[in-house]
Order: sequence, then structure tokens, then C-alpha cells
Amino acid sequence: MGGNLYQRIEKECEAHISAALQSLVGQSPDLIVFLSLVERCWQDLCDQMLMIRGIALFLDRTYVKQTTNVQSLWDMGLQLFCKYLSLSPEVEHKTVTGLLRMIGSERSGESVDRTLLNHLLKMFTALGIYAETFEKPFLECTSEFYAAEGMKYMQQSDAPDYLKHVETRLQEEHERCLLYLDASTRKPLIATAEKQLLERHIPAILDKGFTVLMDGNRIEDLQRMHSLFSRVNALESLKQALSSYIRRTGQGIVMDEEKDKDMVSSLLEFKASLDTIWEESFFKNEAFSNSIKDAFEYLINLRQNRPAELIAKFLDEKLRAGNKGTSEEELEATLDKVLVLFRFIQGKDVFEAFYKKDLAKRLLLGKSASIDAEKSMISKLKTECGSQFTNKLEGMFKDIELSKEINDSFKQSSQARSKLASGIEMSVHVLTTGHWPTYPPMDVRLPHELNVYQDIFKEFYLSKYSGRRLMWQNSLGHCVLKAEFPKGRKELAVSLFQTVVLMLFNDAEKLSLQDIKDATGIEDKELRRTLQSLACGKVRVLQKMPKGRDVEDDDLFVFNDGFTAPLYRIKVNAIQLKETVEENTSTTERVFHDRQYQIDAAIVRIMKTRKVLSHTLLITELFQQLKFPIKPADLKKRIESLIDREYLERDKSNPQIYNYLA
Amino acid sequence: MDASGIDIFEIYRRYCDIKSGHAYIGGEEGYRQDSDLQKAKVSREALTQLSKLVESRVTTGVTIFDELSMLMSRLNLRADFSEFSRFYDFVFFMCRENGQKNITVSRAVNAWKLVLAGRFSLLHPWCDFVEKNQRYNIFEDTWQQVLAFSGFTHDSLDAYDPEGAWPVLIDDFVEHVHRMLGSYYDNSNLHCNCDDPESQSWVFDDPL
Repeated sequence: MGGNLYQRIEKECEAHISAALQSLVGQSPDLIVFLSLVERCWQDLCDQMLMIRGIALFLDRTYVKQTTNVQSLWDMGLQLFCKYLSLSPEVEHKTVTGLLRMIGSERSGESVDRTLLNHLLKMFTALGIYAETFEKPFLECTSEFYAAEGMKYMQQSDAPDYLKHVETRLQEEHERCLLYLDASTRKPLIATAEKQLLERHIPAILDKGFTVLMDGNRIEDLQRMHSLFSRVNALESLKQALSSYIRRTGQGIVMDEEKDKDMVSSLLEFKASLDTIWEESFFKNEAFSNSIKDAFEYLINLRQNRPAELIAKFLDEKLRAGNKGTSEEELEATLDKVLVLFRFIQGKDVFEAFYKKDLAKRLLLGKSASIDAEKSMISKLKTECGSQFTNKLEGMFKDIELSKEINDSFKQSSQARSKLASGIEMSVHVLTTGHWPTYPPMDVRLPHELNVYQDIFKEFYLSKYSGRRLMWQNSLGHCVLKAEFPKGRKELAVSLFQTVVLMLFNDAEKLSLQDIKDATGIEDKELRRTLQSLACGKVRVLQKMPKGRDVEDDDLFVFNDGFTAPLYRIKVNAIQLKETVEENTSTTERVFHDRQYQIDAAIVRIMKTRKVLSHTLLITELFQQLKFPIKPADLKKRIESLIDREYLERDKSNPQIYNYLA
Repeated sequence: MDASGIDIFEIYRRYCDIKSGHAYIGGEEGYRQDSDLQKAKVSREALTQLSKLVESRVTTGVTIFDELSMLMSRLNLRADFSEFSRFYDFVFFMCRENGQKNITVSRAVNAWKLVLAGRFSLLHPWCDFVEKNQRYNIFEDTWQQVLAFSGFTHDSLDAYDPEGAWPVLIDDFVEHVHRMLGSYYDNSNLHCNCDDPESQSWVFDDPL
């Protein structure tokens, strides 16, 4: 009975559904109208099937449940619908095309009936033919659409706009999934859009837009680029673009000799802007940070030595007195930033040499802005490079502190009190040779008063520290002189050489160059510089006859009677305190000499343990051991020199192998 | 020893004796242990003595190059490379002055022109290059390596390895040659290399 009823219902349904679907064939050429007809047909079926099920509920619950291979009434209806739909491919095809057309128009900005879309797609899902019948052509169509759009937009718009557009598109597709597409479509759909809009255009986008964005510091656009690129695994390309951008830009900063003056501050600015971009646009991506570091290390070592020297100079400027308006915190922050650059420098010995030279000047001339800042810098260098690096620098500070104590106890000492003429005060810096840069010794015949003073100090010092040897570095001394000019008393802050020259005029009115040379014993070039500073500079306490910028052999010098100046204490700039070109090259040369010794020592050390070693292996080991940048040719030269000095020999049977000669 | 009568043939004979280990130094036979080291020491001493002898010779107006060229014409150097190699070292030995270990650039160039004529395809470019670019004296090691290099350059410089242990002067020279020959050289050689598998696998064959 049940079976009979079921079969008859099924037969009735089949006839009805077949007719319903048949009636759709050839209906309205307008796709939208057609779609709504399909929707109504589907809706009717659903209503009818529900109704039938309601009436035949008992059948559905008993017969269907108890009999195998029989579907519920509802499923039976769906299956029949599905069957007849597939029997009229025109209807099915037209429906899919209509749906695709509608989505297409929505993508082009028209508003469409989303409920209609929703219902029809639900129909496909309910019939179990969504994936095959709709999703596949839909994804193909999407791919085509975005391929074309990607091409067109890449040509029309610039990279940031394009990326914005891509972002909107992806958002839209995402919403589409929420509104009417089946949830399972989301992944392949987004992937298709990403592939067509992004993946294919990565190189072009980077080519066209990356430099512009970086130059313009466009945090937001870069952030968008990063997040979009990360969706299609293109971060590697972005990283490479970043790296080559840094290299290119940095090269411009480092290699341009005319901009040497601003190199360090430009590099600091550049680094700061990169850091901001890294933090805000690239989400502190670890790999990016490494590639920034690598790129910086590369660019800063593009030029040998000069960057190291300029970093040292930059620090000198910051640590020297006269930087008003920078607070201690700001100074600390600057030091930290400079240290980041320092970290990239391969030739740290060059930095050390120049830093030391400048530090010596600051300490000896009392020009340091703050001893705290100095010490903090030293401790930073210490953490960076180890105590060996800063040993000597710390020694310099110790010398200065010790000197203060020595001076104090000297003033208290009996020698000083009993033997010293009053009216002169002297303070001595006792410097340990080796901690300080080497200064060429310069002879000068000191006036009697100063000579006595030196001798008494020497006697005092050696009585305290016997066995030491004191050498006076005349070129580093500086004095304050009281001068009685007819138009007023002045105090002159001058170098020791200037002092020696000026004191001659206590007893004479007019002196020739030769007179002065004989009396002071100062070396000719130095003396001319000294006289120039006294008679031709801004402050002219002497007058030169005849007038002129350079000191000639027959010039005469006269005490300047008419000297006036608004201030009481006047600094007469001494020319030798400025860094000369020779001084600079000699610092660099010293570094190179030190390096040669280090190379020789390393070669001998390696060969001593290995006895026999091939050229290639020796070079590899040397590169590992030596901490400064070096060319293979330089190493070869040292090897050749060691062969010549018979530390090494070439193996008799293979010239690529060296033997160590004990 | 009597210095005045000794001629270049005699010097060369003694030099060869020392080099081949037949040197006889006043009754010193007792080197058994560590004989290699001892031998080296003995021959070094013998060479020092010989060079003192050479220094003390009375100059007769003939230059050292005349003498060497005379010696060269009597020796059968074409046939035996090891003989030539020894003679080549001997030339360096004779060109030293005032007990120095190195020889001046001008002497080295003259000597090369003499001994390497017909043996070194790049002899003239090499001599020009050295004269123009080398500011210091020529080390013995460089001298010896030039012989190896001259044998190496018969075909082309393709297989030259600038990363190898060649002296810097030779590295610089090879770079100079490549620069002079310009880009067409590079291109044509790139082609050669592909066609001819032998030129790629061609390894430096030590002539010493």
C-alpha cells in the first residue's frame, strides 16, 4: 500500500516537474527575466514539495524510513528537478550564464538583485550541482575578468592606486561570499583574484612603484603593499626590492665625495626613515630587518675608511663643547644611533684611530661637552667591541684624572711653594705613551720662567714616580697670557708656541722673522704658521711689515700698540689646532701599517700551526681571522714579503702550497 | 780562494754543484739527523760564499749580461728543461748586487729579455708592463714564478686563476692583458671554451 502510494506520488511529481522545466525552454531572451522565472519555478517546487510532504507526512515517516533505497519525498522532488534540469541543458546553461552576467555587472559597479542571486545559488547547492555547474565556470570567468582588469589598470594607474584598487576588489569578493556565494567558494575565489590582480604583476608593481613609495616615505601605501604581497607569498621579492633600494640610495650618499660633510647625518636620517617604515609598514618583519642590516653593511663599506673616519668626526662634533640646545637625553639618543652605523663598519680600527685623535684634542684642550657623555660613549664602544678596543681610550681618561691629582699635590708640595715664582700658574697633563696618539716632537726654546717651572715639575714628578721618563709635548701646550695694551688690559688664550713668540715682545719692540726663529728655535713652517695666526688672523696682537697674508723671509713684526677688542678674554686661533691634511693621511697610514703587521702575524701564526698549507686555504683562514676589510691582493703581497724574508717557501713540487720555515 | 781568475763557467759549475747537493764544505760530513734541514743550511751557506766570491771578482769591462749570454750559448738549454730552469735561477743569482736579495727592475727586465727570448710568448708586453708598473725590486719568488708563468701562457690566459698563488705582479699583468685585449677577446673566448672541452679541463702543468 505504502509502496504503491509512493510510486504514484513520484509519477505525478515527475510529470509535473518535467512539464514545469519544459515550459522554461525558449522563455524570455532577457536573462534577468528568465532568471526570475527559474527562481519562481524553483520556489514553486519547494512550496509544492513541502505541501505534499505535509499531506503525506505519515508515508514519509513510516514507509520511507522502513524501506531501503527509497528517498524522502523532499529529496525525491529535488532529484527529479535535478534530472529534468540536466535533460534541458538550455535552461541550465542559460541560468548559469545569467548568473555570471549578473555578477559581472555587479563587478562593473551596477547594482543587481542580490536576493535573486542568493536564491538561485542556494538552488544549485540544494541540488548538489553547485561546484560542477556553477563554481567552475564562475572561477574561470573571474580569472578572465581580473586578468583583463589587471592588465588595463596596471597601464592606467600608478602603483599605489593600483594596490588600493586591488584591496577594494579583494574586499568586494569577500563580501560576495558572505552575501550570496557558497562559503566554500571563498578560498578559490580570493586565490583567483589574487593571482590575476597581484601575483602576475608583482615585478611590475615593484618596478613602477617601490622607489616612489620609499622616497616619499608613504607608510600607508607601503603597509598595503606589504599585506597584499604577503597574501601571495611575494614578500621575498619585496625584500629584494627593499634591499636593492637601500643599496642604491645608500650608494648615492656614501660615494658622493662632495657630500662627505653630510654623509653621516644623511645616513642617520636614511636609517631612521627605514626603521619607521620597517616598524609601521612592514610589521617589524624579521627577515626585512636582516636585509636592511645587510644592505647597510654593504653600502657603508663601499668606500674604504672614509665612512669610518666621518663617523668618528661626527661624534667629535656631537661630543665637543658648544652644541648648545641639545639635552643630555638627545645627545645619548644620537650616540646610540651613530653606534648603529658604527656596527656596520668593517674597518673599526680606522674609526678607533680617528676617534682617539679627536678625543685627545677634546680632553687636552678641555673641549669636551660632558665627561659623562664621553664615558657613556666609551662604555657603548666597550659593549660593542670588547674591552680590548677601549683599553687605550679608557687609559686616556685615567691619565686626565690622575693628572688632576698630580697637579693638586704639586701645588701643595714644598718644591712648588719654595721655588716657584708667583704670577704663573701651570697645569700639566701627564700622558701615557701608547694610550694617546703619537705627536711629532717639536722643539722650542722656552722663556726662562717657563723652563724653571717645567724643571721643578719634573723634579717633583720623578721624586714621586721614579724610573719614568717625562717628555714635553710642546705642540699641545696652551696658555693664557695677561697683556697690557695701551688701550686696555687683555687676557689672551693662545698656544704655547704663540706664547713663546709673544713673550719675546716683552723685551723688544720690533723683531725680524730670523730674530724670532733664533730666539725660539721653533721649526720654520710651524713658526710661520704661528706668526700668521698672531699677525694676519682675526685677532692681530702683532703687526707684520709689510702687510700681507703670508709670512715672507724678510718680514718684520711689531707689537700692536693700537690693539683693541670688545672682550676681555680673547682667543687667538692657532692654526695648528685645525686638522691638517698631513695629519689626516698620517692617521690613515698608521692604520694601514698596523694592519700589515696584523696580517703578517696572522700568516705566521696560521703557518706555524699548519706547517704546510695551500694558498686557497691560507687565504680562507686569513679572511676568518682578520677583522678588517681586505683585498686578496693585499694578503698576497704580505705572503710574498714573508717568502722573501724566508718565513715561508713555496713547495718545490707545487707552487700553490706554502711551507713554513722554522 | 783566488777570486781574480774565476770565470762565469766556473761560477756556474759551482752553482750547479751546490744546487744538486754535491757541495763540499770544508770537512762537514756529519749531517745525518735531520738531513734535509742540514742540507738546506749547507747549500745556503755555500751560496753565500759563492756570491761573496762573485762580488769580489775584478770587473773586466764585460757586463754580466754579456757573460750570461756567452754562457747561455755554450749550454744545451733547448733540450733539457730542468737544466734551463737551473740556469734561469742562476741568472737571478748573478744579477744580484751588493749582497742584496732582490734585483732591480731594470736588471730583471734585461735578464728576462735575454733568457726568456723565444720561450715566453708575452715577453715584450710583460717587460713593458713591469718597467712601467713595478716600483720595487723583484723578489726571487716572483722571478721563479715568472718562469712557471711563461710556460703556462703558451696557448692563452683563459685558465689563469687570479685567486691562485701567483704573485700580485703577475695577477696585475694578466688583468692588464685582459683589459688591453678588450671585450672582443672575452666574447670570442667564451665561445672557444664551449666548443673545446679540453680548454676547460686544462690544468696547470707544473714545468718545474
